[in-house]
Amino acid sequence: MTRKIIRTRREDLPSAEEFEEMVKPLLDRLFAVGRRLTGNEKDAEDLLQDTLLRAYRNMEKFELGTNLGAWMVKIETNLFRNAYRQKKIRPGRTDFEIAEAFHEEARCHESPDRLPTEELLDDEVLRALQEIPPEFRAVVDLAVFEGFSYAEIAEAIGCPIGTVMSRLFRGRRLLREKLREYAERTGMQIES
Amino acid sequence: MKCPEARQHLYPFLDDELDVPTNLDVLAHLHVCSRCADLFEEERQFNDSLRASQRSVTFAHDSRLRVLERFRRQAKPTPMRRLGSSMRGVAGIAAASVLLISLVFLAISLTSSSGLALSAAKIHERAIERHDDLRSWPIDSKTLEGYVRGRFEHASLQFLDATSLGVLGGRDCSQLEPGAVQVGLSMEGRPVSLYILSGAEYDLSEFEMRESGGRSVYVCPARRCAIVAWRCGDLIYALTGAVELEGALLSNVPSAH
Repeated sequence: MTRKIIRTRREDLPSAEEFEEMVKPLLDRLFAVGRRLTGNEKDAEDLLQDTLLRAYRNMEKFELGTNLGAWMVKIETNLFRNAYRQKKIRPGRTDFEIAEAFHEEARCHESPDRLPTEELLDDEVLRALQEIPPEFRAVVDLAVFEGFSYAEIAEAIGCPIGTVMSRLFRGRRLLREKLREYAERTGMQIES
Repeated sequence: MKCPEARQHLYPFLDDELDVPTNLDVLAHLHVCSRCADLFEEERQFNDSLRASQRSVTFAHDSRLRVLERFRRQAKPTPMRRLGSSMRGVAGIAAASVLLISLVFLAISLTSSSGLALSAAKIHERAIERHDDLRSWPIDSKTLEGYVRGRFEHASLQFLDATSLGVLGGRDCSQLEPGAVQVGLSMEGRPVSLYILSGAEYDLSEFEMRESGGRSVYVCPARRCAIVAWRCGDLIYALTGAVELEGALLSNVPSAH
């Protein structure tokens, strides 16, 4: 399919049908992002729905020549963060004390715990993601799964790069800890 | 660089977020510290496993149809939305006026010497961040010195011969690659870092990219060496000379074709 060029003059903005054609190839990616953020397919579908509408109504803000998928992922992440703030999406347990404990560990420059070495399954990753605070989850998702640079994440969520790095560090450590706990419970091999 | 400092850079290193000198420092440390090398490699594998776990996630066909149907329904313009559209035009004109006035004030402020100096400094800083000054070879010693000094203002810079390299614990890379530029840094008389910068051309068919996702470490198992290269479009610039691999690093190298 030929990629359409988005023009930012208002009279040249795509119709709903044209927009739909443009975003069809992005739906799998946007759904996967939403699923990791919300933890279930129903909320992911709603989040994707809101993302499509928000993007379509703000097409004049889309910069010509930039990545449409990345722009929509940013919108989706921000919608999730706003929804979380308004408690539309109820997050899993958020344990900031655990996060702080990991932060302290980082200050001591200790070696992190050993990692599960077997293949990780989608549902266990999804479950572990839901057990870390949403603000950390969003940053981990953008960096690890979506390959955003720190600067892009900072711009997307409106935080300084230092905050992004801090959240990313804590989020990764928490995610790993959750996966390690899960691996121990299910008898998965852990490197010693 | 010692272990605690290298480990502080773990995630920015894996995410390709370090500047070139720090990246080289970390790599140099990983070449000599098998514990950190193992740790970094393990974390990289963990990241790969996380990504791999999500590759099979698909958006069910009926859900896709449902979402698109709801989008079509909601995207239809309403009278209120049409009114909103026209009002946005008025708001746009107002915003443009404010922007124009701001630009006039900005132009006035930039005519002061401090404003110009700040602006030039920022441009220079950004250029260094993008490594613009390293985009062409051969790099002259003045540019190189400026580049390194810009990074480490309190460090003294030395261009090293093979003997000095030995003192610093480095290898004489000129044996592996003639013409490599070797730079040592010292802080208060103590050697703290060593870079081997090179613009040599390599036959990249001999090398395999160690990692995907933008990390540009190329390894040559047959020659037991690696280069750190920086890709710019279709061109590849080597930033380090060939560095000998050993231990864990070599054992993790993909097999040669």
